[in-house]
Amino acid sequence: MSALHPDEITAGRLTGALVPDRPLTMDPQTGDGTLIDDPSKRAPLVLNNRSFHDVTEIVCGYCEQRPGGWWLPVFGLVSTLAGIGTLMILYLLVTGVGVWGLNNQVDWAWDITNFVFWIGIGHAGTLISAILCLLKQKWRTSINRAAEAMTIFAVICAGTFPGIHVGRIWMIWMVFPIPNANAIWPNFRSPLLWDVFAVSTYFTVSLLFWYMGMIPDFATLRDRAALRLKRATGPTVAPFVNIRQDQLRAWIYGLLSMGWRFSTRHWQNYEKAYIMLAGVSTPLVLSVHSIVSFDFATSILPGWHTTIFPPYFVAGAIFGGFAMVLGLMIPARELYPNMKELITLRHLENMAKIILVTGSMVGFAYAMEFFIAWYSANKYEADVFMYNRLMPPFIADWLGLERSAPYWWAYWAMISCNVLSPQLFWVKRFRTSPLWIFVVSMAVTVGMWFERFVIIVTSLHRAFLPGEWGMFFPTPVDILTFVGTVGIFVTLFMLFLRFLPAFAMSEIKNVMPQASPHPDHH
Amino acid sequence: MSMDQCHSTVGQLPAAKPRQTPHELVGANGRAYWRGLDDAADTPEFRDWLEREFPAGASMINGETRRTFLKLMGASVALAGAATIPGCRRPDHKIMAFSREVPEDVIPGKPVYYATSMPLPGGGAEGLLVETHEGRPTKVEGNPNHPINRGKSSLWSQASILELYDPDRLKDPVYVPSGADVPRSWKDFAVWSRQHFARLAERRGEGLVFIVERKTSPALAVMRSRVEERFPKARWFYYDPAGADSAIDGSTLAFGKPMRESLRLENADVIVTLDRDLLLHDDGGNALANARGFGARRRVVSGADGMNRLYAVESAWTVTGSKADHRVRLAPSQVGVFAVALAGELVRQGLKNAGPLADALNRAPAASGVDQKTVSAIARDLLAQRPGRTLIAAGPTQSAEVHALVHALNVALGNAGSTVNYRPMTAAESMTADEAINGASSALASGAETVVCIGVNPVYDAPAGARFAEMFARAKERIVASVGDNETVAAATWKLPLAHFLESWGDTEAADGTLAPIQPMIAPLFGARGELELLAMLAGEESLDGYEIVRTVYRSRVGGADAGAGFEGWWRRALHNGVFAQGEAPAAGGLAGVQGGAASVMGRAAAALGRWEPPRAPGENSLDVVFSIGNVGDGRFANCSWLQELPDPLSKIVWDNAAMVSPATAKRLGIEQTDPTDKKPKGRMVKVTVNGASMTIAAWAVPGIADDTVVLPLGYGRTVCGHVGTGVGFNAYPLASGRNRRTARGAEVVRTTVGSPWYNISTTQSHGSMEGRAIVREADLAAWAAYGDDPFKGLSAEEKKRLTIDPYGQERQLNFAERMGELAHAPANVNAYTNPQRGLKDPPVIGGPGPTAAPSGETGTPPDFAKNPQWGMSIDQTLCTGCNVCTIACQAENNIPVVGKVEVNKGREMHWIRVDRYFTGHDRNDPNPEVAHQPVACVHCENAPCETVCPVNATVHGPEGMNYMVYNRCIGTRYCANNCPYKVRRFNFFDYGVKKFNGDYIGRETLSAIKADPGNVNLIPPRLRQRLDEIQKLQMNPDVTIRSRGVMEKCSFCVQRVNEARIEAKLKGLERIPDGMVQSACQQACPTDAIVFGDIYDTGTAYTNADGSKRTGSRVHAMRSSGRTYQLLGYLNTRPRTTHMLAVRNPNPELVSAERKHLWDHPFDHGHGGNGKAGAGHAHGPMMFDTDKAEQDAGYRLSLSVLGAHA
Amino acid sequence: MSTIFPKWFNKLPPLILAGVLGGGSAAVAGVWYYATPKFWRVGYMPSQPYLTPEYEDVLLREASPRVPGVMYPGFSHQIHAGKLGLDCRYCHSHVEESSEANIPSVSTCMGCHAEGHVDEKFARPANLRFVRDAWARDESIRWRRVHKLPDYVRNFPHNVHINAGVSCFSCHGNIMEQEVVHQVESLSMSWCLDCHRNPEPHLVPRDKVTDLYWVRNQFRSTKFLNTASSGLGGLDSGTPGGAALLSGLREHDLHLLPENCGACHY
Repeated sequence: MSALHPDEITAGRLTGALVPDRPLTMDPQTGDGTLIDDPSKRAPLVLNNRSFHDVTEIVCGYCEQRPGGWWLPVFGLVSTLAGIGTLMILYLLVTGVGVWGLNNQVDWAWDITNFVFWIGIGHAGTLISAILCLLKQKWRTSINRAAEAMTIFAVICAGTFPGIHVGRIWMIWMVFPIPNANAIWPNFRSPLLWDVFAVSTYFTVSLLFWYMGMIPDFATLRDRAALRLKRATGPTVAPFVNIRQDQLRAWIYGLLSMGWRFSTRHWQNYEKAYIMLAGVSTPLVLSVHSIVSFDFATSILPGWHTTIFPPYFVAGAIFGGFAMVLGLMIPARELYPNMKELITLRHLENMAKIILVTGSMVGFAYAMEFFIAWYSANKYEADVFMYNRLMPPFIADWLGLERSAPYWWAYWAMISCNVLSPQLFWVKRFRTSPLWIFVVSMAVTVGMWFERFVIIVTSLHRAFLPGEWGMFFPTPVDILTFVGTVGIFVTLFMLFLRFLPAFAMSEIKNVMPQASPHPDHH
Repeated sequence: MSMDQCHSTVGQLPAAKPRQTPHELVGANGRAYWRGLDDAADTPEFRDWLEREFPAGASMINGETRRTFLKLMGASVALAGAATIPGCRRPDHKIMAFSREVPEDVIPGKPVYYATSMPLPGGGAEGLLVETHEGRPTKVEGNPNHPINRGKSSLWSQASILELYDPDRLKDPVYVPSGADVPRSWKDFAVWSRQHFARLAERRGEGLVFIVERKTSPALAVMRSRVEERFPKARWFYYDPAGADSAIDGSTLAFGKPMRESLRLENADVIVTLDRDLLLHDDGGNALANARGFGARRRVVSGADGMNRLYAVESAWTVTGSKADHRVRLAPSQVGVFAVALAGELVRQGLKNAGPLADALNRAPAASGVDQKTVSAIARDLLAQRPGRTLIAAGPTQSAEVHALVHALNVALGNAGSTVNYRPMTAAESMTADEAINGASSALASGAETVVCIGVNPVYDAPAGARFAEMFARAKERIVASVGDNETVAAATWKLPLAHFLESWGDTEAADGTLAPIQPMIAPLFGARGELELLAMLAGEESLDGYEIVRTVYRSRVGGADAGAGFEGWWRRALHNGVFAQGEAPAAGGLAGVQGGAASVMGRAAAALGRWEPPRAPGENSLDVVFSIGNVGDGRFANCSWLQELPDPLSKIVWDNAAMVSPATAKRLGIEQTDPTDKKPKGRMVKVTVNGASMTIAAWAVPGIADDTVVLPLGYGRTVCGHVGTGVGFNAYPLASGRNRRTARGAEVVRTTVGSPWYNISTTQSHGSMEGRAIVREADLAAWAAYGDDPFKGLSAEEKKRLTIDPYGQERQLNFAERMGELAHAPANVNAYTNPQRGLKDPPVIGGPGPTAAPSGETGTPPDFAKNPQWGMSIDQTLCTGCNVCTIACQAENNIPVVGKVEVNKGREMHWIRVDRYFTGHDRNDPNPEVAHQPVACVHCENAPCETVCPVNATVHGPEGMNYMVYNRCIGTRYCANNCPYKVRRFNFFDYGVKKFNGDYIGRETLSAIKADPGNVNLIPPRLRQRLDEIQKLQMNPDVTIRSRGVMEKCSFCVQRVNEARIEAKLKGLERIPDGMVQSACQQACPTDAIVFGDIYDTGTAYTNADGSKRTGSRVHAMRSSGRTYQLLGYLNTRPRTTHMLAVRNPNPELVSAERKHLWDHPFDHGHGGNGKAGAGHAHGPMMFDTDKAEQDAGYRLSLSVLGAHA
Repeated sequence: MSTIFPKWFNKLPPLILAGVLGGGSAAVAGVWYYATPKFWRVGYMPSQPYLTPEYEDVLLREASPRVPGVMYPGFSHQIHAGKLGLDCRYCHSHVEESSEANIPSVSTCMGCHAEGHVDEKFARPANLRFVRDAWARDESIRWRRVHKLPDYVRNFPHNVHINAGVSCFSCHGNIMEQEVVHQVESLSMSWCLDCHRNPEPHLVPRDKVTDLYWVRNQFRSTKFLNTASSGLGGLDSGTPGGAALLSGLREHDLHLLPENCGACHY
């Protein structure tokens, strides 16, 4: 054993003072060694033959050590954006919804686009946690915690928009079924009301799931802090303040871990609760975005009134959610030491495959909308797809058509990002290259935003009566509000990486070879 | 509704009574606001009260009369924070009842209606009925007793109520002895003027110039003559800046003396207009009567009904042209050529009685550039009618010779006395604008020392050549009396606030000679005085009381028994009815007053024609100009925000005027605008040079304007006007000069080289094509006559079955209009669910409109909708002229806010009823499209898509079929608006309702933007506006909530009126609300009666019409039973309660293209482009752009075959 | 773990849970009970009318000891409507024809209270000074508003209710015994709807609408429960009004008792 305390070894490794004891070997054929296609061989989910203790050190290290020098500038940037977003929301509340570019033709635009976009992002977390858990997909363990956190933060961003987009936010309580002296209930026929219930339920269950999963890891963090306190090492909170950081850690993580003592009874209850929550969450994954899609599908507006919306939205949400997980984890994997050992290329490839599948589903849905528009022989429906979305002016000119779609660029941005770009993943080289995966996942994120924009704005701006057609032009407030929610989202995610256990240590350990009494038999 | 004498007439002088200082009986005082600025209410409690929506307690007033409603404002003072103990639980609301003198006819909580009349610019008048709530007039209606109005009203009379409460009006006299304003009182002016005018009187008025408004009023004429008696040497100028000078000259040419014509369109079978807007703006006082007469002859309900035919030869778009059965597009100079060609053709085809005119016409130079086929067809049509059943009318752009020719033609066709009546003009009426302005200018130039301007604004509207402003400044004393602030006031030495007609005494003479009283609804606000009173002061009269002046005039006019003791009764009746029954009877028309009769008219017209030279056609660098009149009139209504925000009927531009040209001309000149369909609308800035003057203005291309013609609307570009009107648009008056000042020749239009090349234009409609959708359905009379009553006529049983049995085997009953729409080739809606409103499943057949019959025991509960009343509306698109008065009436009734140019630009206009305008033509580039007007308001769907989606039940259905909008419940998700297929819902994005349009707050950025371009004055965003001026709130209808920010609103079917009627009916014990007891505001104003509102389920009640004829069931029921009725977007199964009626035109068979004629026999086919499919029909209008129908029909057939149904 | 947390921390989760549940229930109950017009509005009893101190002092001195605190009855319904038995419509004269129940003008007061009309012994001239001064100055008296519907209630027609046989008593309570007028009913929307959904118990014959003592006695004897029978209207079949009127009007097609939003809000 080294003379150094284990913490100090980790610290040294993290800061680069010590070379990793076993450097990652990258094979040109098999990457980090996890991409073996031989079904008889199970690819490792944790590289470098790490011990349980190593995993604890790595994961706890993210919370306990100062992050790299990149952290503070990046955090400053995103939190500034978050602040701008908050100011924009305050400005909106003080002044009125008119500060956005909405009008009497396009009554929803960026607000609901952003809402559906963020809700979609929030889908991957619960899918990975619940459905993949029920399907016993072991590879989920190294990404589920981050994905769940992302879900929570995305739903927070999403929930903001329905709240602030209403004209009289101070009367928003009227959507809740509260007994009142007016003897009026909310309208239970309205999909917006279903949204209120669906999103709040989803948020509650996701939060419980996320939090419950973290309890054993909080206990680990608590115990480590308590041990260090006993040895009276470690820095204070601030110069001249005689409170040790570990004191705070022990208290906060102690409170959060709710007296977890790693007893068998605890573990038994935990496992039961986990599987039950997974069972409860699974229908939610399907229901939330189905209900969000009802906002559109139950209306009579051509372009909205579409029965394929529920599956199409759910597929799109999983699609966008995984893209966002990748978009966050690939940079983190580069920036945090040893994270590549936990999130291997195999993980990335699996997620890329899901993106390919769900992207193709979404593409199929886009195609079906056109087919139905033609097949229904409904002129209004056909016009929406042909002349509100598809037809670029230069092609219309060439074909001699009299109309073209002013928002054609949004439609084609959506198609190229959502349908075309994931097709790269048919090629193994692209779906195993973190860079390419990152590029595609960013494209998908942008494309999914455009998908919602296309559905909402292009359907509304030219509806039934041409006399009341009108364009939507976003205002700076529109744009900054959205950018602000991106800032809020990333800010929260960075705080999560910094202070909360970013990986489910106990679950990772479960899928490590050491956990199996018979490691050679699968 | 009670019409009674205004009790303010009972022995009280309007403004003469000095106001008592209120005693401080109580702690808080609500002070007088309107008696003068000095005691403007500024107390916090006053503000508090005003900032709330109108509390019900406001209906108690304590004043002596309704006109003295200063105490109304104290009526219910909300004292926030409490000096008293009970106030700690809630704000203290005070109720103040009347004190001593209780007006007998005022019942708190009930509006009172008083009759009055409105003098119109240039002469003529409207008779009005004004709704007052406890002393404050809130809404203007047409007086049913007045022959011009017959209950209808115009844009300007509707908007006059806002003008009354305009906070920018002049307040108290101001003297400007040396550059700086010195506030004075009327007493000061009286003292000053007594001395000054006494001196002038000594010189018999030498050096005194009067420039007064040209309006028709006997009492005013008497007072003016009194002034003339005192100052016999004074010069008088009667001025109407936008008047039709050439019409005056033309009648002088034809009749030997100036005659005013008044038309009777109800007698005309064929009408030809020559650049004249009969139905809206160019027939001043008579437009309402014209529209009514025109509409009376187009009321087509069954296939047997006939209609008149209108040919419009015009250069600019007018609503008359948009209703024409044939519109001939010609530059204004060429319209005259057309007139002469038509006259020649009439003579050639055997026009009798033309006499010497026939010879002159034969000698006249041959017309070129005129479609001979059209001319001869029109001539044949005119001659085919019985004498006196036709009408030709020339407009203000036409020269005096053309007017004379038209008069002669009307006489020769026997129309004089039948479709057109003549009445000699008074000297005041016959003075042309050219004479007036040049005369005044030269009188001032030759050293006139005192000039008195009353109700005119020549500094603004004089032509550049007259150099009026310069001459005006030379006069030593410039006394200007005006209601609102204006450019002439700004240049005055005495600025005198003139009373609005709603606050003064007077009388009017309508275009047809009807005399009507003007009685005040309210004591003059802002210390103003009436014109009569001012003139009396100048004449040195003893009595300065307008009431006495008018009474005296009429006491002397009334002859016989009524003159003496009977006068009081006569007078009271006249005030009650709003018409002076025994005023000068309207001249019997005809040529009674013309010396020499018809023959002399022919001779004079022939002589005039001899002097006529055919004008050359306009060319590329020499365009014709039309100076048109728009919503703000000659500029006097520029500070009325309702009118500024009212879209132009054809261009749909608001808050601006633009140099309008045809697309071809715009392209040739390189001045096309951005395409507003998908970009922010911007017009090209151009420089227009004509008559030696030039202006810069934004250009805007509108299809259907004559080529090589530029249309410049007058009345914009005011520089001193008020918060609303200042700097809106561009002033075209300097360019308008000469004897025929409504047109000009030889204009040059070039792009500007300095300043920004683009100018923001706001329109309320960006897209003008129906895109092949069956939205406005149109048919020609021939097709309607053949198929209107039976759209399946002539089909074999097999074919009929194919068309009436839908793919599900259900029979459907499609009427004529429905066979033209989507329903004709879409499967019927089949509903699996029970409709909660009707307790039955929607029938698979989409039948005729109206509530469905009781179900045959299908469900236990009877359908709610089978109970009277069931409200509905019918909008007849044949009759709708697109004049927009419904929009203004609705705005006035329902407290609809004005949002400003920038907000309209963003698509946030608030009008509850809009009139969509669609161009239809052979293709998108058709230079001469037809126009369809479609008023759209909330249609109150029985299956309303908005209702299901609102999360808080803020929009719900009532048992009478109305879709209610509950403002207090609304949280503003806007989902309802998204799901509304008619897009009629309007959202309060900001506090439009309680913020003043164009506040005083001007940021630096805005200021520089305005500096750069005065047109940007409306850039001030609404959130930076001030709260509404207290005075403006007095216009608000207390029966309708003022909506706050964040609330959705829409047409309510005037539910406040419906509820009022229901209460009346209940109290009277009536079994049902009789038809006509409720009129929606739009219906009430509509001049052609295109809008009918009522109980659609009232099918059996017997009624007597106004003309004595009988009818069964409500009018709206009758309209909805017509084969022309269809449901807009009915295929959605929204079951709208407002139905539209297909527009019928009556084109001349000789002038109709073969393909259009094909539609007469096959009205349900596709006619153009050969892509028609059997059974899939649209009206001829909208389908012209239908290029992609074929592919869709293929999809439809496929889906039917999959369903296993026959296609 | 004792090094980090004391032992009682083990009770924290159940305590938090109980606190959240208990506090939440209390909050809901509190809002439910207190945030209602019934709590906030009923009992509002301002002094009448609104006067300057010189007048106030006189009235306060004369105030009846039965009226608590500093309230003064500038006008006593108990005397006028109760003791003297003036009909409501004597002062609220337009209530049958207008949606507003108007407040009487000063001239109405002076009809009785002009000098010498009423025995000054009873009328207490010091109390009346504000009326007579207002009359002399031709000013109105500022009464404090007690019954106020929210601004967004656009349609509450007194006339319809009166003519349908809804007694003043139903909404204003025993106003003939109130020395200082106060609000008795909540005037909340659900309160309106209660009556609109089941009007019979509240209907009286048309000629008894303002006969408040009669109405009170009837309501007491029927305990508002007379729903099974034809209601109070059956008591006086000779006069149209009350439930008889209601059932008669129900034959008609006019929508009688609107429960729909558009009846009041627009």
